[in-house]
Amino acid sequence: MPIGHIVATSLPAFLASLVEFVEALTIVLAVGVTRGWRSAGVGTVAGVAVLALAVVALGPLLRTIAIAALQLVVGILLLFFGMRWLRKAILRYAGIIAFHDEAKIFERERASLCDMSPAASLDTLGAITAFNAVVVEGLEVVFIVIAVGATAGTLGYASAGAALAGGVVIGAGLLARGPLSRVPENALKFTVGIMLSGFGVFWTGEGLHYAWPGDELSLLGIVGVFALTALLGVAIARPRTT
Amino acid sequence: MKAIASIVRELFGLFVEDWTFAFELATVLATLVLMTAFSIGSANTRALLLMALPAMALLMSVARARVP
Repeated sequence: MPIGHIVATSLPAFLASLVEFVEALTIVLAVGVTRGWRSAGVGTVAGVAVLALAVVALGPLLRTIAIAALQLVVGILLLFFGMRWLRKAILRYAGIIAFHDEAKIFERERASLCDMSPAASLDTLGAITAFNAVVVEGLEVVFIVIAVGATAGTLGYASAGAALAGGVVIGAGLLARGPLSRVPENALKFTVGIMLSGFGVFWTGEGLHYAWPGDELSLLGIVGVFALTALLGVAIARPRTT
Repeated sequence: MKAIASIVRELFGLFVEDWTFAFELATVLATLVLMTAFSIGSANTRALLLMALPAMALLMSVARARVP
């Protein structure tokens, strides 16, 4: 097979998959830094396992799955989680509710975790959020690989392109994990609330078949709108000093 | 059982913390689903509403929280 043909199949699969993997990574990192790396890891591994099983069992039949319905449900859930977190973070920054005393919380959590079994200390909601993100974005990667590879008869090269993208994103995630863990929790929750709300709006729109301008790039705009809204919210909620 | 309870608590936490905000959000989403189902308004208008209305509801919620 000519090299040009291989590149023409694997490169689009790599680039398109990269975008989807980055979206999944964003949510997994958000879960990791706020709800614990164990929950993020369990959700991710479970998501990958479900995807692998689905691919092996169904293969190209996967295209018949109503991904729009899945995106709509996950989008609405993320919007509710994100908005709740963002509202709390805004009220904390505005001084309406107390800031988290992270040292005190750490000590309390450490003491309570010592009394719990490993299974009980798993944050189920965090794991489910990571699982949902991995399944939704992973399914999109599967569709991309099938669309790019099946029409050109080069499924193997398209899969290799997607696998390479997955490796690059996982590597970036492992590198980002350390620095992210050192960011103060309140700042993280503010940022994560903005991101979850943005993803919630984006996926709800995808589920309702809205054509976002610029496709995935519009996520940056949506997240930007929520960031500005959150900053405006802090200014509005902050008590006036007379 | 505990895990399910924690998920339900997180899911409906917004309804407990600010019932009005959660109701507004649910109403916006239900309205947009209906608008899409009956093809009311253009897709761009609906996308704009999907982004703007939850943001506005959030601002109203934090403004309400400021009032003693």
